[in-house]
Amino acid sequence: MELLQQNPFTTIKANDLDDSEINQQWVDIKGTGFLDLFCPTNMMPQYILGGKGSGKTHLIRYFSYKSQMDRHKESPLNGIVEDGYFGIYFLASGLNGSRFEHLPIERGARNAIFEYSFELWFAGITLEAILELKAVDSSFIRDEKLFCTDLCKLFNKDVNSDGEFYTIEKVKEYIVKLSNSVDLEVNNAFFKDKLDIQILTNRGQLIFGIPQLLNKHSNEFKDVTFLYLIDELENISEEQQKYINTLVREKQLPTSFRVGARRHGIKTWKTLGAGESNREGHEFAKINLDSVFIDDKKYEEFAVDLIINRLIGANLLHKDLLPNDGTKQSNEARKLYLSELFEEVDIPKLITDANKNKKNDPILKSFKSRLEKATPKINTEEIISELSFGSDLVSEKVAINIFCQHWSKNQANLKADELIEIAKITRSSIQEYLSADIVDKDSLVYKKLDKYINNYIASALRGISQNNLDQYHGLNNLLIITKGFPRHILTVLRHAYRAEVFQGKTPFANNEKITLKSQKLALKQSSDWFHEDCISEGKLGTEVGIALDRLCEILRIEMYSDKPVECSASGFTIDKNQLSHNSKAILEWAELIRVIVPSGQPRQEKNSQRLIAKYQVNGLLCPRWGLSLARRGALSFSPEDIDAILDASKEEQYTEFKNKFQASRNAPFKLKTEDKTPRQEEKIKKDDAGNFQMGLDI
Amino acid sequence: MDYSFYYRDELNLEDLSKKYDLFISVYNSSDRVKLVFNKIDAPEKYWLIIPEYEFAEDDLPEGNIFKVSGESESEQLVSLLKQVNLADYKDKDVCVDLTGFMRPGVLFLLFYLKHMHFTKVDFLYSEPDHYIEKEKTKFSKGSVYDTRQINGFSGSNNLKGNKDLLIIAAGYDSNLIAKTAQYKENAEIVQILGFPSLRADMYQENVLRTVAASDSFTSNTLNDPIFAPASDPFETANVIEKYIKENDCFNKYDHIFISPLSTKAQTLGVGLAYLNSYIGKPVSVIYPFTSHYSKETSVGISKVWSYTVEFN
Repeated sequence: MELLQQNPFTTIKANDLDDSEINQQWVDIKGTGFLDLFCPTNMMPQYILGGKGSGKTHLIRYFSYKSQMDRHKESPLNGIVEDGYFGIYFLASGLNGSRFEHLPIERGARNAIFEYSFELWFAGITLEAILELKAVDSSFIRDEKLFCTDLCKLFNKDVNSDGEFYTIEKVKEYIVKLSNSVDLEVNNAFFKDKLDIQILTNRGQLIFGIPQLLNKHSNEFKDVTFLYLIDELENISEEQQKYINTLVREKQLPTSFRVGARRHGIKTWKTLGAGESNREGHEFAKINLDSVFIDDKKYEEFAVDLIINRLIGANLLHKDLLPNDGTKQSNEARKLYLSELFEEVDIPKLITDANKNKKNDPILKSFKSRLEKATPKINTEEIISELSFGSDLVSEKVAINIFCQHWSKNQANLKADELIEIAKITRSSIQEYLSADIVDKDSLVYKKLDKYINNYIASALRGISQNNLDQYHGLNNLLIITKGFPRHILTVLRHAYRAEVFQGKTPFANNEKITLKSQKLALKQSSDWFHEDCISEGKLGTEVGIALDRLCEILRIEMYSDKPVECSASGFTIDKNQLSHNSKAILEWAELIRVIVPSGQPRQEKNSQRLIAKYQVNGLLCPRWGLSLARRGALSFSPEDIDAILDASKEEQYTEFKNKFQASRNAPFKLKTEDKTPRQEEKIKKDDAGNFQMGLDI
Repeated sequence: MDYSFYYRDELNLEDLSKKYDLFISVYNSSDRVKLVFNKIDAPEKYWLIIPEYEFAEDDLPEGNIFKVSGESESEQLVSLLKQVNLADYKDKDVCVDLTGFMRPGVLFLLFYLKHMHFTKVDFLYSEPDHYIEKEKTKFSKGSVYDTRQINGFSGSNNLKGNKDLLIIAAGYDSNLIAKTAQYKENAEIVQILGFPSLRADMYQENVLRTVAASDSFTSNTLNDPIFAPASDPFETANVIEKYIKENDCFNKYDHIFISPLSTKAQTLGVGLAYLNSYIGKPVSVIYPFTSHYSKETSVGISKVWSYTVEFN
């Protein structure tokens, strides 16, 4: 139990970290780091966009005054002054804006109440932050009473006629009281004819006024930027986002904004009033965190540092490996050290060993069952005997591939008995390849192995253990699987650590390796979690779930087929302009919630000049369907076929497409019932002469 | 608030002595809803037909029905009030079967009854013999399109800048549990598990479903759950109030969110705690809304409970 509680990967969300942990677990990217991107003293507002688990909250909270004060424990006020900014963090949903959306009053009044409530809320939190500074150094405001008098003047009416608000605490109390009375009226609005709310401020009066007054009344804050850090913008409505956009547009010095949101969470760039939109580069800058980690090396370095940081924090590693102390260990050394903590497996040996004592050859057994469905009947036993390579399941997959490719290509001309001849030629070509002293790079067998090795290994693994999870072993694969998603790598490690403890081990301690068993279990659990999580995200979540299941089913058929066309396919290409409105919406939502990830820029097709987009299935979903991480091949779908996959209502069309696709990739193919044509005789002869290319395109 | 004075009774459907002036129930395909409707003795008995179950015209029951429309719980109740003025019954014997209701509907109705100064209402809840697919039973259908405060159950803000607390009365719907936890990602989470559960095996099923949502939780959520009987709204209300008080939650947290995702009996308990003790306080009830709900989730009927709620 104690070991479980020490799991360094338990906390996978920045929200679960306290302010000191935000600093301790801070990891920057190399080169142009987050600090450079965020540039807290820059007055240009920024929207920080990124998928779930991309590190937004950690980044934004790092710049909050609470983290600042923790970083400058010895002299918080001086530290903030030196930083040049004062960050006030809050969640956009903290005000629970949705309660205003359902108020039974007309829209204008509803929005006015929301804006007023937001203004009070903002002001209350800002004053709370100032109070925390005051607790550290009560003299940083020259004359508190005068400051409060000015504060009260920000209201539209004289709220301080008898001078009762002479401390910041008292002004804050008053604001809380105003805020609470609005809250109560809003809650009870459903059975009232009229709401009793008097609006005492105009938009921005408190939000921009308080920082200006602090600049005025504090020597230390004379040149300090006030940074409002608004997180999780996706959790408020479009109308309320317009309000935030308006504040961003109307910002007054010394205030600026950093706004965090999921990419799909930005509902509008419009502002209130005339409805003008804020423009990137004019009213705001945009940081897309998802694209920060597109670069393999950047992500790898970041992820390694993240893991090392956690392990050091849990006293499982020596501080010499600390990322921020770059003089002691290079990133390569840290990665190597980590790699050695993950058990790896010799896959060819695993396949051979597992199949040595088996009576039934799993690959040929299922292939045989397909051959038995051929019409007219064929001599299955003899074909299987020719394609059998004992415990060498990979060679068997190569044999099936070459055999099926020839059969499929010549299906209009081949007769049943000619298949035996093809099987024999296939066998001799593989035997010749395997026995040659020098690898013949021109041979078809070499080309097949070079291109489809991942497919063959996956099939062989699935043949011996019902899944190919062994293929994802080791740190390198873990980095590929989780690329772009820091939270994903923490989630997998969280499960791996737990699995190890349940096996009575002490993971990461004393150089103990994470076993293959735990790695596989962790991947499966994480993959299932991500799948369940994303298919309920947003209104289109369920439809995306159906589309994703169908898409991955097709990719899996391709991956494990007798005759794959694309090697290691875990992606697809598509002309988005040809999609129906519904399918396009589902595709875009799938991209926004990142179950599919764009692979590079769309390319222009040579003949039609159309832009073709390419997508990959999110790496963490690959283990669920046994898809490859190599990301080499991509299936190309016609508009009708992709429509059948994406549109949940087209179940029948999808089933028809799937059956057709399956038949095109797997035996049995058609056979000719009449005599051989002269052309076919010629072809086989040619092959017999020793050219094992057999006229196949690969 | 002392809930020990509230009256809770197990009903014998074959020997019902009490008569009501008005009885309302939400129609679905479960036996337990239909059986209770047929047995209750009231001159005015109404089925409410709610949009979430998506019943076709041909599948509607015979008798008095009110079709309720609207997306939110308040719109739905307003649409009902246009057809029957419930306020006319505030001094009469009213009985509401909670079993088929959506949880937000239960709470907003409770809010309305209190607001309209009803003195006393009986709520019924029928326990199933078992759920159709044990812990894998699907209740809500489709995506969660909104997570928000239930109308009438939104509290004030205390503007301290602390963390929030989220109390989840966890049921079988792991998707709803996960989505609620994700919506309040910054909150500390405490779970209420139904114990004693409705049936002996349901506690284990409940825990299994909660574990299924565990990747959305903070580190210690699963370690320290609190327990309240699955079929007792009054004890549920008591447990919530006790937890909040004993743990000094108003000082420790900015806002306390309670999410009722378990039995309707516990949902009633959440509503009672709120209306009795937390109006005007930084406490809200939140719910993850899906547009559809399974028409039939259970088999048989095990017990029928009657809870008498006195509003003053």
